[in-house]
Amino acid sequence: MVQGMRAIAVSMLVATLAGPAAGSGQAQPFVQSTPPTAKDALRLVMRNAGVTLPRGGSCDGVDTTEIENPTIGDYLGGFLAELAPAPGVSGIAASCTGEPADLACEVTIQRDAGDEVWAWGLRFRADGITGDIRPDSLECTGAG
Amino acid sequence: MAAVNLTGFDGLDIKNICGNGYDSPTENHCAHFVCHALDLDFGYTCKKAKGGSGSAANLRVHELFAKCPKVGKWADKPPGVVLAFVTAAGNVQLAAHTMSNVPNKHVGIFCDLFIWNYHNSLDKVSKETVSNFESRFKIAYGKSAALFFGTLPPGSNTVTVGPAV
Repeated sequence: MVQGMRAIAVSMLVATLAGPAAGSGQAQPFVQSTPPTAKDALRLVMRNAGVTLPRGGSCDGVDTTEIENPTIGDYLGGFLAELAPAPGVSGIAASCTGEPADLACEVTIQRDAGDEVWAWGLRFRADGITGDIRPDSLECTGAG
Repeated sequence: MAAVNLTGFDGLDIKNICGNGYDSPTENHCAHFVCHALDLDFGYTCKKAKGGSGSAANLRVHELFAKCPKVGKWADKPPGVVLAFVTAAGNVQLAAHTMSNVPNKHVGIFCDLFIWNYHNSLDKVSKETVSNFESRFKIAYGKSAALFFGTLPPGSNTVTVGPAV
């Protein structure tokens, strides 16, 4: 019984992250808030964590451990891992604007601690209804 | 290629250096300053990131490191003007000529006994001795931080230091 309930809970979680409910007759858009929230921008990158970063542009060489063909998850995971508890200010800025079917979003991981100043992240466009990020829209932001 | 006097950058905020408006104080502008001073526009630049009509300058330390014809430990640096890089030693693979894109890395221009670099905490360019530069980043990045040199990439401006005009 408990195992059965766990299975149902897991399938509900997978269905939620997978986007609109298939076959339910009333598909729910992946992004339901209007305007979209910071949480929506973060849910979008988590849902698309396996998408490979484009080559030949702003994302070349951005992975913190020099993984070949890194994904969104590799890239953002690397910088999130740098936010180990320490004095200073660390945070994540996330936002989306635009129409539900064509959202313009940005997620930036930031740190400011004296001489340690950095901000790295992603700009992308996404279909807020399906929850899919458009791979050709990905731009890796950051300097230093 | 031109000759650039670093003294002219002394005390400047990046907003007075970059003509493309890439000047957020939340960013690390060390490579950005170096590449404006040396007129290096390869890879990911302020112009690509922001648009604008100013001259383009690369923004990233690891891309700049890879463009230096010769790189090595600071103790092995050749005479003359070189780039001064600092990061944890484990982030640099000298044989492969690469530096990992960790956030804690920094670069300046070593010329005439001083390292000219962008102080992100103060939002201005200034010069400091090698020992001050090294000790400042050992505090910021940890004791494993080490200095590396890079010879100037092809096409760099030539660098001088003298009285500001």
